[in-house]
Amino acid sequence: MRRMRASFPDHERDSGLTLIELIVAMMIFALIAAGISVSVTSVLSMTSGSRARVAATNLAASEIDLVRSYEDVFKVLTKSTTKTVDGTTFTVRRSTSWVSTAGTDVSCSSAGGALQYKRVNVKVEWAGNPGADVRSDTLLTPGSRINEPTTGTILVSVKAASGQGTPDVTISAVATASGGAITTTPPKTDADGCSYLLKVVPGTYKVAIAKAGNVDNLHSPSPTLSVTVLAGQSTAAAFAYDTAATYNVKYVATPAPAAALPNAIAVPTTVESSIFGGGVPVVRSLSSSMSLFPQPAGYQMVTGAFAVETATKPCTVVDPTAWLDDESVVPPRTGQLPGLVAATPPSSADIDVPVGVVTVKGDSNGSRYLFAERVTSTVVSPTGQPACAQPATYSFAAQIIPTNSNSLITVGLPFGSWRLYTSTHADGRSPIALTTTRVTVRTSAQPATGSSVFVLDPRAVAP
Amino acid sequence: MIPLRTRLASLKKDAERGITMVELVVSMLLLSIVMTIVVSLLMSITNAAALSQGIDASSKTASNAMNELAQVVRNGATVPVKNNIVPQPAFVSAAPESLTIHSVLDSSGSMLVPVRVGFTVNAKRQLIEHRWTASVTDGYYTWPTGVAVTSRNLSGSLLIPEAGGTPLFTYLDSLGNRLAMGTDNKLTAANLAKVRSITITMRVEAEGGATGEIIELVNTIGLPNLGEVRTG
Repeated sequence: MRRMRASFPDHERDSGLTLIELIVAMMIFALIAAGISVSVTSVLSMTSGSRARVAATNLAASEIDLVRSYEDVFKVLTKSTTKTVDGTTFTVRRSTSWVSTAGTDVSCSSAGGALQYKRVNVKVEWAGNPGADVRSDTLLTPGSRINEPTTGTILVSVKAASGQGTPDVTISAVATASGGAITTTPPKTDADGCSYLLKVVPGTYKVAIAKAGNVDNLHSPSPTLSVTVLAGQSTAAAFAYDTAATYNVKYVATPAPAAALPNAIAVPTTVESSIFGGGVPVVRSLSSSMSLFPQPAGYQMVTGAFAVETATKPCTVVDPTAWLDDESVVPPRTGQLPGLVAATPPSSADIDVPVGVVTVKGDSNGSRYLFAERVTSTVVSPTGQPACAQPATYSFAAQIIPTNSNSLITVGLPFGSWRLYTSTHADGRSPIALTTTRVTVRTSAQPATGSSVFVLDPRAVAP
Repeated sequence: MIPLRTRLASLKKDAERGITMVELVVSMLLLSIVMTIVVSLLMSITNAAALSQGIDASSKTASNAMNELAQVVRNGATVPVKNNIVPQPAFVSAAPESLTIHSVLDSSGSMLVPVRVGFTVNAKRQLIEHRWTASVTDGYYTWPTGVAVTSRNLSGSLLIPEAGGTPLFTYLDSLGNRLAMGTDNKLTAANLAKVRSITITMRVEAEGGATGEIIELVNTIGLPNLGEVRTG
């Protein structure tokens, strides 16, 4: 017995827990507790997620029920609505698309096979959803055949500057060659900017669109497009058409004249303007307020009709950037356009339009009418002036020339070379050519004394 | 170096000393902290489990009840009457918390068999479905008074009406406009004929669950058999 006690000493049996053992035990407990609380939290969030999911599934079913009760499949459109159930806001997104005979989606802006049926996808989203969105899908077939093997379909797509559809645009189409008459009035474009002309006899048609206050990307308020309809096929007529942005034209003497101009700049009554804004410049007649397509990047404008160099009668002289840099001075003189100006409807914006400016003295001999005639040239001049083969004669407002020989009028003209005439008649009979004695070029160098050709040069030292 | 005998003696003395008051207090304090943590953890687990179970039970009952209601309402149809070109209307009666409808839920061979189905909320706020078996004469279905009724508890749970909120049944016309209730809090006969869809707003709290585990479901169900096109 004594020996046993000696072999198993008291101090070992009674020693209790050391600090290390306690810490390890607490750590293990902490790990287990943390694991349990995480799983409890996840169970709670999953439960609330599944509660929202049940509600979302019902909303999706209700949306499918709604689209299936439409009689006209063409009226089922892409749409998004929000509904609040039990404090949670659900967003019900319905997306629709026609499906062609080939089984692919048909956008109304692209041609393809005949329309077969409409695909409807409903997606319900809500905030705090831990999993995937609730989705529900269905297919809708029209009540009757929307196409026949012997006829075709015209898909009209009208898109705004933002890329979204322009609704409520009136569509019309007339046969121009070998087609038939369009008997049913095509519906106005829907919220997706689409309209459909069904059962169209094959042939060539001119599709026109119209909506008050709208212009297309070439600034035309009533654009047309010619399309060819084939049997059993759909043909697309895509337009860019949006509410016009208003640009108020402000004439700016370019380059800035050395002395202040004596009075406001008068421009010819019938002058064109070239609108630069990506792509080939668009030529439109100039007015004090222009209604242009609301392109987000904006526009630059100059006076005069621009024609590309490859045209039969090129005219690039009106574009200041077409003038060759004048390296004879340091720093060189270059032609510049004013910055791009963008207007967003319904607000309007002021746009600076550069013009070359001359002043003309009055006379006492009764010639009250002023005319400007372009000096054409098919080659680039040694001074760096671009070619312009387009003849142009501009007239000014009636009886513009003052009677007092000391009075001046300020005249704005497109860049290039000009001859100026006065006449006693409104139609310009028996013109009298003006020379440097009566005409002073304000924005560039005055020609040699006695010359009757006035060069309006847009080039200036870059600021 | 201390002789081994002395060390053993001192150890023996330590072992027999017992625990002091300070040691006891500290160990009790530690034990109470640990117990608090363990108990609160256990409590929260129990609570979470009860809550999940309640919500789960609520959603299951609500889904079941909604499925049954949706099926009955979607199949709602008029019933032909012998020697009369005007059929019996699909709706027999319609109120914010009760609804009786003719619905084609059964088919025997080529025949479509209409059933009269009623939904009511009883005093215990349970949703009860009644089905009246039709009596058939020459292929025409009628429901004379006194026909057999089968009833079943559809929700098996409490339907909590939201204070000032949407009632269980909201009746909509073909344009999606809400039809107003008549003087006796029921739809008038004229309005009954206009019903094209029903919005069911169901707030369910499962029986036996702790309070607060309410699930709300909203579903708008159309009656395509009534022919008229619904646009809202």
